[in-house]
Amino acid sequence: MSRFLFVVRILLGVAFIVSGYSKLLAPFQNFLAVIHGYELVYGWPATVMAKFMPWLELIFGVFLILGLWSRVSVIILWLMNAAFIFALLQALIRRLPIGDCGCFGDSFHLKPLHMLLLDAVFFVLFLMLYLRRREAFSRSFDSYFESARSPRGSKKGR
Amino acid sequence: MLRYKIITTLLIVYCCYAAVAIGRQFYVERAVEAPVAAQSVSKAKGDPTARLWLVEYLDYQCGSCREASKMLNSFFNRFPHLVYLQVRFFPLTPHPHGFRSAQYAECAARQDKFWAFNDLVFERQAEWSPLPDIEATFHEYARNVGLDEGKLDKCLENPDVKKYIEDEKADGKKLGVDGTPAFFLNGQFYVGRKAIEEALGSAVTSEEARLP
Repeated sequence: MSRFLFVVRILLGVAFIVSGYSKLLAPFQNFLAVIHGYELVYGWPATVMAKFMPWLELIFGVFLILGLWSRVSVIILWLMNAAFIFALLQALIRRLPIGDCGCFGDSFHLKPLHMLLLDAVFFVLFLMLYLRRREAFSRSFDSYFESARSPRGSKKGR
Repeated sequence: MLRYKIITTLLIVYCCYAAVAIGRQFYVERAVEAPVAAQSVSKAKGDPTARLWLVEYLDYQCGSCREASKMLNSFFNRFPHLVYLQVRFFPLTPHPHGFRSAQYAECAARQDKFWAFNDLVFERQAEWSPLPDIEATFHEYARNVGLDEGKLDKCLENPDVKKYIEDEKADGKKLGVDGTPAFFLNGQFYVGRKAIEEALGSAVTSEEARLP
């Protein structure tokens, strides 16, 4: 099970790294247009999201793989995943044309419903990671720093 | 150990920043102003000395591009001397008729009937977009705007036209264009109808807005 959770952790980390990195290579205006397409956020909050969300995806994706600040990383990426699910769901219900015009880039195209299903799978995987995080992060930077802090474990009273 | 953990964190964040900075060197060549190529003059309208210079990258099968086109026509009618608009093609891979419709529009441009064809194609987008084949429909549109069909057919088979559109799209990618509609307004990059509508609204001075 811990090997499976380790693989899940790596896959989720890679997915967010790729997502964040590809957005960061292009001008932020491309992602801003995607945010506008969901018709939920406008103005300066949308601009702040467009500029900073990809950095969160990239950095916490890397942290997830390395197992650094693992609890925070899982929570932040999970919250982002939940936000994507909400945004997609309301866009599908309102029949917004988000699947149009290469909104997710010209080279990569996934229909909104497929994206929603993928995000739903990610949601379940994040839940597993959070509930079984001791196993999932048994091999991680966090466990290294933890063991270096108390190399002989807890031996109170000796 | 917390200190080492924080140092490790900062190092990793710095590596992420460096990876993005290096990647951007290879991905996007920013241009302050989008230059006007001689061939593109037929896909331009307005006063070339106008204060606002707008370059639009579009795909004819893109619904947002249709909405942007309506908005720009309205803006142009209201402020004809304020803006110089130039269109460039950026047919998107997921759109099966994106490239072919661009070929027709480029051929219309070579017969100096670009804008009539451009407006008609957007106006009828809902009709032709779901069709499996657009040849007959687009030939009808060509007749409607007065294109010479013999010249049109030769032009459509011309490999230079295909290369021209591919080069225009490649240039757009170098400037950071990844979806449509994308705009450069006096060199500033905007994506989407809403963004350019706000930018144009902000660019019009109160005096210009009061003019009849």
